[in-house]
Amino acid sequence: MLRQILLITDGCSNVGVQPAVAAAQARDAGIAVNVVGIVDEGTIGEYGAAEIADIARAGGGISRIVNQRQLAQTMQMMTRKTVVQTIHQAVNHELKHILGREEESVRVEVLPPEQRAEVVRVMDEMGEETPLRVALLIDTSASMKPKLPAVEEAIHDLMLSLQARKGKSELSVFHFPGSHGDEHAVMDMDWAADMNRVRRLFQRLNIRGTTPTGPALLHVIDFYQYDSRARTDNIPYYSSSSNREGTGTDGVWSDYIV
Amino acid sequence: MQEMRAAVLKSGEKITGLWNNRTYRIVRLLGQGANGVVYYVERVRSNGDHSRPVEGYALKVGGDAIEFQSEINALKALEKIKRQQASGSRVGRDEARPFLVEADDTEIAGQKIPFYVMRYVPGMTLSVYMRKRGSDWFGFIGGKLLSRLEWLHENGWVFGDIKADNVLVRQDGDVELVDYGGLTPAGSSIRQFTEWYDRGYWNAGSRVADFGYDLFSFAVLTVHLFNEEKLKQRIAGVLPQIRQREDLMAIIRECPVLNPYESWLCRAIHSKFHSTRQAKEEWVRISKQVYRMPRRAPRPTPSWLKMSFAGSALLLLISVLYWAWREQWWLG
Ligand SMILES: Nc1ncnc2c1ncn2[C@@H]1O[C@H](COP(=O)(O)OP(=O)(O)O)[C@@H](O)[C@H]1O
Ligand SMILES: [Mg+2]
Repeated sequence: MLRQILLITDGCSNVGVQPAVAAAQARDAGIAVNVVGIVDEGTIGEYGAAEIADIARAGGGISRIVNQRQLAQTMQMMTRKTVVQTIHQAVNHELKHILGREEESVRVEVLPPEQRAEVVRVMDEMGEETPLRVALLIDTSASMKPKLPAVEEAIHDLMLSLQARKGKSELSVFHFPGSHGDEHAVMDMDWAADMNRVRRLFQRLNIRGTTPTGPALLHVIDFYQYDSRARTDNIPYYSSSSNREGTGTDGVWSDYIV
Repeated sequence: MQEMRAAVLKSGEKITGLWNNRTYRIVRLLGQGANGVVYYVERVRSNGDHSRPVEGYALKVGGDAIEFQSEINALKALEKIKRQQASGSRVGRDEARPFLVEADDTEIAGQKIPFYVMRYVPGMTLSVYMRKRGSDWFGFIGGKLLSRLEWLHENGWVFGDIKADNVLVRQDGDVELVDYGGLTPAGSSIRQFTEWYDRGYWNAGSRVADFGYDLFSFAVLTVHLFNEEKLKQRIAGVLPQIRQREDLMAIIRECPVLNPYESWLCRAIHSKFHSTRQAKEEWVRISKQVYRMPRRAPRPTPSWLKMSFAGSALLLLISVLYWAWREQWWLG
């Protein structure tokens, strides 16, 4: 299964562990972290922009800073790109394994055109068919309040794109901060694959001033890891650098690579 | 994520493939999109073979390697289908021109960059064509475009990213699609789309590739061509969650050129056609009727005619002045 967290925020974190550190932990657990910064009238600030880029870099994902109108398009594009990227990384890894070489230069891009074509064709199929889970983590600090309708709309749109995939695709939604000090993030929607549950997510929010982005990310990582369903059907071929015991996919790839 | 930007190449520069070793000379820039830059190029023959005429192609130099390869694969798939169908039968004008000539890598400024060579489509984008040559062409061109879609759909593919930029029209009114980055096998999720043209964006259905997806985009394309202002106003003015097909229909009703096609467009927008062939035949039937309808209003002068009129007037003026100067009649 492909696993992503998509963080939507409009500014800097101000409580708890550095969000980039939390994102690095996500990456280590095989979860890619994407970040969208929303700007509207005014800027996100140099500091905010740097933090957003930093989180995505540490989380192995993509970051973009956009206005509300571009939100839906950006979210679906990022999710799609990250699926391709994750598979690309896994395939590069396999390639090194098959060729028995660890250099950085061993990548799909350097294969001869014919083989590259075949490998990318299979990668496209995997991108379409591999089960996917995206956990949305939404900053609902005071400044985000006017943007929440656009966020809700974009979630709806993302669900539409996910539903079109052949592979099972599910979405869950969290917001942060929670309603009291040590509640860092709150689940608004458990894994769901259908539209109907997406509307009217953030109706009963009590908006607070803090932005504990780091702790909220950790909360979602824990949710991913202790969710029993997610553990049983974990994909074999996603391999973060730390765990690489028998991936069992060599058969798939050695056919294409001489 | 590594974002590769293709270097901008100047005319006269040469590109040589690292694998197939063929060389192309850049003639001019054709267009720049999200996933690469397209040039008009000529094949440079080795060993000074000048007996054959110079062949012109379109060459796209890539961006993201994986996405680029997917696009190449799409063109390959179409080329394969075309070849299979052509075997045995006589090949016509564009059946002889391949979707994909070759794909290779090149080195630009020390960086390895993928490129591919495809057929060059002489012509202009649909919106430019309509502006220059007038809406009389609309019914005819629409039919040609639907024929292209029919061929794709019958072979199990959906174009996905139909929009005015991706439809090129030749002088004779035949059309060709460019930019196959959105080409999707029927049944998969649409690979690439443009928001306004997207069925999902209008809350009018899924993003699963089926022939109806392209027909829907085709309908939006007609609205975009003839009433861009209204379309923009609607999009800006309506809340996304209540954006709906009826908004498109309302704009269509306000547009005289689209009037005869209203019921056709309504069916496309509501996914009511059984096949693209049916849609095309219906379209052609309507457009034939339209061409034979008595005109209510005088036809507006197309802009090229106005220009050529201005041109002749200018010429006349110049020759009169020249004559007058030679005769020096005003000096008496
Ligand atoms: N085969 C072709 N013949 C002529 N012009 C082309 C051809 N392919 C692309 N173009 C021009 O280049 C532009 C950009 O190419 P495109 O493939 O659409 O790039 P992108 O995928 O990045 O949008 C097109 O809009 C078109 O005007
Ligand atoms: Mg294009």
